[in-house]
Amino acid sequence: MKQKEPMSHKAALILFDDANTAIRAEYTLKKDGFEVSLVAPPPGIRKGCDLGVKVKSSHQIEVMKCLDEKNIYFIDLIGFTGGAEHVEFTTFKELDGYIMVKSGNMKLTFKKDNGMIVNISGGGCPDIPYLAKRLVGTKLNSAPNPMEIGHSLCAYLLDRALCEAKTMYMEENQC
Amino acid sequence: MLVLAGTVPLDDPYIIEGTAAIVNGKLKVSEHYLDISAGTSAMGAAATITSSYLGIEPPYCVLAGDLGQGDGSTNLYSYLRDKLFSTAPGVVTLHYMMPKIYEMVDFGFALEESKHKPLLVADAGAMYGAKISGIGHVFDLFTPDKGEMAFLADPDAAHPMFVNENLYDFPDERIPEIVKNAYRTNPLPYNLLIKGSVDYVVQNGSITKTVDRPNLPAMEAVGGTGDTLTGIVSALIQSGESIENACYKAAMINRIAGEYCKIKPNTQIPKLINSIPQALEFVMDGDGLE
Repeated sequence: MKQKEPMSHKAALILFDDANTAIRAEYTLKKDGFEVSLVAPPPGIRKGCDLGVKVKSSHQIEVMKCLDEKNIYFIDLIGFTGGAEHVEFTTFKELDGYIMVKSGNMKLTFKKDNGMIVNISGGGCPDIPYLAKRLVGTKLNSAPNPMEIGHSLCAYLLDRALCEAKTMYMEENQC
Repeated sequence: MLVLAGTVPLDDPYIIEGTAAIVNGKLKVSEHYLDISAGTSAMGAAATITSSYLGIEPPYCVLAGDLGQGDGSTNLYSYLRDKLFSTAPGVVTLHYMMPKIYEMVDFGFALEESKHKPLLVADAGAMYGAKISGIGHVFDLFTPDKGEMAFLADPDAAHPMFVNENLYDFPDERIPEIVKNAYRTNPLPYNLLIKGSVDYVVQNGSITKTVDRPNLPAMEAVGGTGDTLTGIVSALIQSGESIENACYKAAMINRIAGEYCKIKPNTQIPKLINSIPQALEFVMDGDGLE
């Protein structure tokens, strides 16, 4: 089995108040060319449904500056001593003219011929019932972005499922 | 008394509590009329309908609005710690809420200090919180789906998002092995009801019963089918059924309700909930049991 390349021998972990801020930080830092990844903080400093951003130690000053400039508030920066990275993994299943896309514990189902989101299932964080209300009944291309209105890791996975569903729908309709 | 606790998609983070009723297709709790959709409201509606059929008192709901910021969840955890046990509930089911380690541990301490030990069921965020807090064993039943079972089996995963890649989308044949490993590596409740294309009833790490008929692939796509199952099983336990029997019957009732409502991938959960009385009649009369 191929081993993952370590990002750096020395890495640092930026901690945030909530998952949503961590996800915004990761997005912003990647856009600015930093090599970063989302991780679950290690046991002991984990509060629950939270996330940290792993960065190269050699980049930590620039990263902090970048976050400050973008008004993304972080609570601490510590040495990276461990923390699980997530694997991007989506699957799909065809069901009678509908496609169900699964990302982790989240499932989004849309109508194959018109891209209408008909159901969202799975998840356990409190924003999911709210996101389901907002997304179900909308078309994939006009659906609100779950990470813009959600706050949790389940919302992040739903966001991944929506992105995958959009890609599948576009590919299907180009053929 | 059956107490159901969870967040609902409302702005107001304050506690809403009261006896549940179904009124004009809404879940009525105190003076609030809640839309029935995936999440705590579907679980509450299924439990209310099942309780009514069984002739037991309706569930008592403790809810809080939370759109994901966690404020309503915090209020809910405070209620669970400070007030829940004084009501001497028989069964308590915890549902959608932000997984918070310290608050869940406080709940565990409150339970330990309480003279009253209700049967405890957890699903959704409460189940995630119990697992990552290391207090799964103080619960009596978890109701994970297959993906959540992988999370329960991975000792390092802080959330289903961080499950080890070997546990992603595994075939059903691996369920017995994954369940055994989960019990070896994590403190878990004595009972599990694993929801999926096959529903598994687990006791202390061993599968004791399975339910695979009727086979309705659309159920996985429809938001709220797992929530209704949790609501039905909670009411059956409150009525005096053993947890094992309650799990088995609830899995059948939920599937048969899906069949009666002719479930499709675009079916919305209230349609299945409306079929629960008919499904209860079929299963509780013994027609649906082997």
